[in-house]
Amino acid sequence: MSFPPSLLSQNSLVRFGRNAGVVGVLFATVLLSGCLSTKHYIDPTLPKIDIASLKQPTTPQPVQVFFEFQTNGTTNTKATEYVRPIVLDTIKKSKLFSDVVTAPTTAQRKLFVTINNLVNMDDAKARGFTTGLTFGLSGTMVTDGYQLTASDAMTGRDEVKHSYKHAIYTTIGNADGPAGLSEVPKADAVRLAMEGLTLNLLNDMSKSGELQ
Amino acid sequence: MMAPNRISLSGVVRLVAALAVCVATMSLTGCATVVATPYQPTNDNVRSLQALPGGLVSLGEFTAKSPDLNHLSIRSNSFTSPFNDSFAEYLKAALRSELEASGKLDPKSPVVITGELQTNSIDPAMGTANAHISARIVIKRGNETVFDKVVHGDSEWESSFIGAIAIPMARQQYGETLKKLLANLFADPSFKKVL
Repeated sequence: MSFPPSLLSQNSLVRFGRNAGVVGVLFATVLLSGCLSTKHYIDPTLPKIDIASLKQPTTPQPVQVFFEFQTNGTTNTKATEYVRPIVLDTIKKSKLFSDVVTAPTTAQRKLFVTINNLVNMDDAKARGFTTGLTFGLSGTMVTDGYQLTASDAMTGRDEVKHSYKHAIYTTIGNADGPAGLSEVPKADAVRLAMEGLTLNLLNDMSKSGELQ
Repeated sequence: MMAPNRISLSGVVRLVAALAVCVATMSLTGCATVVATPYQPTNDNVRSLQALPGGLVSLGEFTAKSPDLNHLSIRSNSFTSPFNDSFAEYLKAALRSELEASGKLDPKSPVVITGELQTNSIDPAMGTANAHISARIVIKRGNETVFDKVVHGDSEWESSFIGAIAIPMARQQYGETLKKLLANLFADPSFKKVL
């Protein structure tokens, strides 16, 4: 059965049909790309610090901690809520302070901690799209850089600043991870990276004498 | 082989099906409500406030100059405030969280901050997106007006073609714009003098 040419312009409709098909394939590709396997690796550059190696102060003092997580310099509320307990827990476990609080307090020591997640979004998107389009055959690796900056402010004393860098590598689809690194479960990667940054801060604070 | 000026029924069916998929996809991605992120105090603003040696303040009424200022949209999605759909209340909540975190808030203080939202916009265009917020902030000590200025927060960022990326980014950037407005307020020499 066919329609007369006055009702439908065959060429334009067929072209549109083909385009719609291409759009459909792209949508399916994007949706399916969510199922691609990801693997996580932690950069080995930052020194590994054990809580037991921290130098305990003679008289631990209370501290009020302010924490903020940023993505490319912009406050990331959801990530702040996720990472804050990890940072606070690490500080508490260190036992370097008599009390660790976030609410306004009379504590004379205030520790401002900011972790900035640096990631090239455009590059990550472009690579991820290629990986999705090939159903993971063309794998990719993206790097999440993290920079912790901290200010240790105490009444009657000059402020002390600290800064540390860390990174998590994530492979998507069929890509090799960084040479010599072992895969870390997804649930542990962020926690280990955040703990590593915080422990390096605490280690320097405990050994520089600023907690005495 | 088809005749040059005719189309088969199966071709039309395939076309209608493809159109239906497109319409369904578009309908699923648009017309939702996006609620602004709960504002969290920021380290920079808290440190600015804590550096001020002065006393404590309380918060009064925050209103919008026009009801239209409470109606924003991001890529065809309605963008609303989590505080009674009022962005003036959102501004008040943001200021409260910064003052609370820095230990500068006392509901009984005779120094009262009030505000009027004057401009409120967000445009998550493909390419360079932007947001602008301004508010008239008035501070009274008893009956005396000790501060009366319009403060601004402006942001620009690179947005994405893909809505699933652009919308959360715009939501985040709105909070960032509010943070900048408050940073400008806290950095104002007259505000510092009041506190």
